[in-house]
This record gives sequence, C-alpha cells and structure tokens, in this order.
Amino acid sequence: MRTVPNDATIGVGQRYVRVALVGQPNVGKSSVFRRLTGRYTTVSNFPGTSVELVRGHAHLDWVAVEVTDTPGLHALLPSSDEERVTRRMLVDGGADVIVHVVDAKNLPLQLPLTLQLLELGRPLVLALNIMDEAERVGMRIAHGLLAERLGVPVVAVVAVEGRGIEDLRRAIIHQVTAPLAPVPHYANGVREAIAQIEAQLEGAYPTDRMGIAALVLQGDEEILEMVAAAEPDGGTAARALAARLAAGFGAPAPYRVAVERQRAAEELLRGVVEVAEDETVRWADRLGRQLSRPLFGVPALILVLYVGLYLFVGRLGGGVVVDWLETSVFERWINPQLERLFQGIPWPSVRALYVGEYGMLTLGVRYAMAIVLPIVGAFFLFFSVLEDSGYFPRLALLLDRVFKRLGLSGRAVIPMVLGFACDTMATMVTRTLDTRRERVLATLLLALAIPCSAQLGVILALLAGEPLAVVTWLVAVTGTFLLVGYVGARVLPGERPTFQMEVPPLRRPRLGNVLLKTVTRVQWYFLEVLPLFLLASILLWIGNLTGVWQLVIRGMAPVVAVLGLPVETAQVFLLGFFRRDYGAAGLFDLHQMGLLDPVQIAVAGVTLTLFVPCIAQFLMMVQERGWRVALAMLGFITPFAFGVGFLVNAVLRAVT
Amino acid sequence: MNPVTWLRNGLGALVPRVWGKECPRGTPVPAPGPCADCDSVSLVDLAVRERARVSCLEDPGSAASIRLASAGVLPGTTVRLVQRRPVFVLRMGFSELALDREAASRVRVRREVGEPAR
Repeated sequence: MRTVPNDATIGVGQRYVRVALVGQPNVGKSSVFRRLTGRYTTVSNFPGTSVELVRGHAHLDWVAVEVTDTPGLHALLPSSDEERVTRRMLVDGGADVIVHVVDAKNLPLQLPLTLQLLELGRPLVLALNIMDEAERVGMRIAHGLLAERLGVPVVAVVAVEGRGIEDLRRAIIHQVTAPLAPVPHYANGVREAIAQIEAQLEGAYPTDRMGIAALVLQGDEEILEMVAAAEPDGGTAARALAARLAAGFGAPAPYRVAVERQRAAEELLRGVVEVAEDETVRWADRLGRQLSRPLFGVPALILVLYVGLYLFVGRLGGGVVVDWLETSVFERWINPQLERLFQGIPWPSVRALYVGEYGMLTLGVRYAMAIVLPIVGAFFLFFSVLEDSGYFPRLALLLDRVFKRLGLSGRAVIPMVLGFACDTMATMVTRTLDTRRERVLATLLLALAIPCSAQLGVILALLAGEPLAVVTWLVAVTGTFLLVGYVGARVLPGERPTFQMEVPPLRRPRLGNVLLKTVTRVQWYFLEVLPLFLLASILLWIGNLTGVWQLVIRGMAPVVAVLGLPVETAQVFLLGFFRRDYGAAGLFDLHQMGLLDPVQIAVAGVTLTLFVPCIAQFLMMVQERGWRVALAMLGFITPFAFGVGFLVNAVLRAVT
Repeated sequence: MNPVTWLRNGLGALVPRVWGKECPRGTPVPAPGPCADCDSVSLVDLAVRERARVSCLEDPGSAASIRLASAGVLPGTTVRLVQRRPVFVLRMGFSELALDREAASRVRVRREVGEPAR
C-alpha cells in the first residue's frame, strides 16, 4: 500500500523537481552532482568529504530541477550527525526523485540501502557509478535484469568522465511521471511486522508510511518523536506494537531487519552480478597497507610532511614566491605607484586609510596577495594531491592507537588533517564522529593546536632557517595537542570510541580535479579573506586616529613583555583575533624588519599557533557545539596559549 | 564491558569445564545466545589472507554492531582478512573495512577452506 500518490509528489506552486543524490560515503555523489549541475563541490578520495547539503539548479530536457548533494549514508537508521542530515531531508519529503549512487563494484554491499530508499515511496533511480573500476576487475552487471526486478531504472555511470550522464538525466526525467516501484520483498516476518505497524499509523507523514513503520520497528528515537506528534493517540499504540513485534524476533530489531534486507538484496542480485574475484594484489594495495603500518608509515609521513609542507609550502611558496612578490612586485612597483596616486589627497589622515602603516591597500591587500595567497595556494595544491590519492584513510589506520589515548578514534584523524587546510571547515567535519564526547574533544583540539594552512604556511616561512625555533615549535605544539587530548579524555566522561572506517583504494590523483579543487579553494579563500583583511585595516585606521589602538596596545604590552617579546608583537596578537593568518603575516613582517631574535620567533610562533581561533571558526564552534561550550573553550585556550608561551620563553632563556 | 556480557562470557567459558560439554574439536562451547556455534571463531583469530563467512555478530543490539551491520558485515557475508596490524582490515567483495580489535572481536565467523567466493 503506497500512501503518497505519485502525481502528488510535486507540490502545487513548486517550480522545479527536487532531485536528491543519496548513497554510501565515497561513491562519487559529488562528481555526479557536478556533471548534472555544472557546480563544483569538493571531490576527494575519502569518506566524509561532504557533510552538509549542497544544492544546485539545472535543466534536464527543459524540466527545471534542483539537485541536492548529500552527506554519505550507510543506512536510514543513522549512527552519526552527518548521516542524520541526509536522513532528515529524506524523511521530511525533501526529494521528489531520489538517485541512489552506488560504487558499482560494491553493489552487493550497497543494494540494501536501495531497498530502504524504496521503502520511502519516492521515485528512484539507481546509478552504478565508477563503472570503469568494476569493469577493470572483471565484474559484469546485468543492469537490465536488475532494473526489471527492482522496478526502477538502473544506469551505468562514470561520473568523473561524464560517461552515462545523459542516460542518468533521461532516467531522472522518466521517473518524475513513472509509476512507483513495488515495495521491496521482505520475508521472515519482517514484511508482516512492518505492515502491522503501518496499519496502526493514522497521522499524516511527508513520506510513505512503510518507511516510517520500518524505522519505528527499529526503535529510531527521532522517528518515534515524529510519530508521537503525528498520531492522535500520541503514538503509544504504534510504539507498544513495535516493542511487542521486536520482542518476538528473538534478536534486536535493527539487526533482524538488516539481515533480512541483506537476504532480499542477495536474492535480487542472483544472476545479475558476475564476478571473477581477483586474488591478484595490486602494488597500490601493497603500498596502501604499508602506509598504515608504523614501521613504514611513520617514516613515510615524515617524508610527506618534510617534502610537502616544509620544502614545497614553506620554502618554495612562503620563501621564494613571497620574497619575489614582496620585494619585486609590491615594494618596487605597486606601493610607490599607490603612494604617488594618493598624493592628491590633501588630508594625511584620509590618505592613511589607503596607504601607510595600516592602509587598506598597503597593508590589507599586500598581506592578502603577497604573503598569504602564495602560501595558501601552494598548500591547497599539496593537500589536494594527498586528498585524491586516498592517503588520509591510511593515516587514520596508522594513528588509531595514538588517538585512542586522546579519547578519539582513527576516524578523528580526518577532521584533524582537514584542520590543517581550514579549521572552520574541519570543525564542521567533526559531525562524522560518533559520540558527542569525541566531537567536543576534536573541536577543542582543532581550536587549540591545529594551525590552519595560512597560519601554518606563514609560521613555517617564519621559522625556516631557524632550526632551534622549528624544533621548539614542533615540540611545543605537538606536546600541547597530546597533553590536552590526554587530559581532556580523562576529564570528559563517556564511553571509549570504537574504530570502524571504509578504506578506499589508493588512486592516482586526476590532474584536472586537483587543479580545479585548488583553484576553487583559493578563490573561496580569497573571497572570504579579502573583505576581512580590508575591514581589519579600516578598524585599525579608526583605532589609530582615535587613539584607542595605542591604548589597547599599551594594555597588552605587559602581557607580551612577560613573554619576553618586543612591544610591537602586541598588535600581532590583536590582528590574530580577526584572522589567525593576519596575525601570522604581521609576525612575518616584524621578522623581515629584523625585530625578533630566534627565541622570540619561537615564543611568538608557538603562542600565536595556540592562540584563539579566528572569528569564522569561533562562529562555527558556536553553530556546532553551542554558545556555552564554545565560550568555555575560548576561556580555556586564551590563557593557556600565553601560559605555554611563557614556559617556552623561560625554558629557552634558561638553556641558551 | 558491561557486567551482563561479562557474566555471560565468564559462565559460557565455565560451562564446558564444569559439565564436560565440549565441541567436537575440543574447543569450549561458545557463550549461549545467537552466537552459540561450535564452528565459529572470532574474526581476530583469523590469519592474514584467511577467508571466512560471517556467522553472527556478538551483542547485536549495540551501536557498534548495528554500525557493522550497516557496513554490510552480516551473517552470510564472505570476508577475507587482509591486515591485522595496526588495525584489522577485512575485504568484502571489492571494498575494505578497517576495524579496531574491539569491533573486530564482535564478529564471529566460520573459516572457509578452498571454497570459491560468491
């Protein structure tokens, strides 16, 4: 019995068909999204790249559609926050057509989710993506036969190359008006149990009652609340019935239902999938395994960090390119030109807004273009190559044991590594962690001890050539990360996390995707950062004119004096409040002027790395963790950062 | 470990010794429950490259077991252990799943010898 008639799926007054791309993590949903809409969202080779809904518009054969790219989903019964995002959208009826994107070679494992999606009573298309890899391993899929059995179109696709996208478009359009597929054929009492609960439900729901009934049977809390609100009796009858039926199973209901779905999927696939399991171990498999083992993995990690971060980002991006831009382009060319241009303005204070010590153009634009841009560009390029290769999941395996000590599991390695690109984005990716405890710990560590790309790059450029400062910085920041994680894990109550993660194959990064991703990120970064840099310049100018700035600096002076730093660094920390990289760039500037000795560089570098997150990250912390937690973290981090800086100074002064 | 599981496992291990009930090959009878199967071993007992078929999940109502089930680790699935250290990695079809010892020890499997894969 289907309770949502198909011709009513597109609401009155709705101008477009809503298409949702749904599927397990790392099956290429974002690549399909890009092919359908022309809009780029980050595509990588690890699970959890997308953690929020992304929408894009397109015309498929003159039908206006809105396509939604969703975070990965293993089952409709969610076990993490990012799965919850997708589930909520589906259950709330946010899709007129669902496209289930699967990794073709893993169809037998992923088909049970197709069945769950069919329970929702929406038109569905099954897209067999990454078909080329399936063909390469000698797998053959009779998709015509599967389509017949499922009652929905099945399309073979290679999204990164655009293969099969035209068929997918046609299938989606076809499904808008096609009759609904029959419900999945469950046996062993599962179908009967779902049907009984379905019959008990009387309220109005945004999706088919079968899907709701199946989730009620599995005891899903969120759905039970929904039922409680929709049913005239507050859902008590349905809840009691579900409990009775589940008790009759002799095993927990979610388990029984999963087993039955698997059986139903196997039956559907009988004679559909033909595969010669290949026992050959590719060299990439072998390399992948070695990368996750300490004996080979740790030296490999050090090599990657040294070559990628220190040489490529720090030395080349932050050294060679920045020097050239600073001295040859800005100092010799642009700044004098600007000074001359603004000579026409008779009032010196207005002139100072544009050119001068805190000028919008000579400080704001110069910091953004000459110091931060080349460093961040180099970093994103390096990072994109690693992302697409599938290295990060190996790192997660390698570090699982260490992270367990910090109250986290190897899964948390992914948000931590992403933090080196952008802590704001990484704070959002903590959604992929299973428990609230892990999410809080990961958020704190990101805010405290993980420098973002811009900050990291500038600090590396600053430290380069000062071995003492490099070692001190590494020891202090790593030590803080481990110490705070270790203590935090003991202070925060909660269960020990277990580790489970899909390991995607190692792949050769595609040059096109690497470049596209780098350019997109640099563009995003620049658009986000430039207005803030300009705003900071204006605020500094106002503060300077009114004397407030000098007052604040004088207030900060004793603090930096305790750290053994020159008074000029006070403004660096204040700049750091706006953006971490802005502060770091200021430090870089001071160093160029020869105002800092090696010990001072180390102290300032450590303090600034640990120091408060930038405004954007703080707002993200508030969004994900709430005001109370975010403010508590800020209240801990600020004095802690200065405390570590004080210690580093004391130790170094005593030693040297 | 929760006290009930602990007790059950503890008693399960005691029972064969007290009453002399043993599986044919001399291994102790596993703890009573859905996993009582003389021929099943824990996933962590497999050697690298060994192939097996999942027979059941311990404590199937727990969040960790449901997560395993969502990833396709369910009775009947053929798995091959490809790595034991630093974490366990199993291969199912063409996908690989990493598990720590705690998660892996929830999976009971039957060794498969020389049988072709699905």
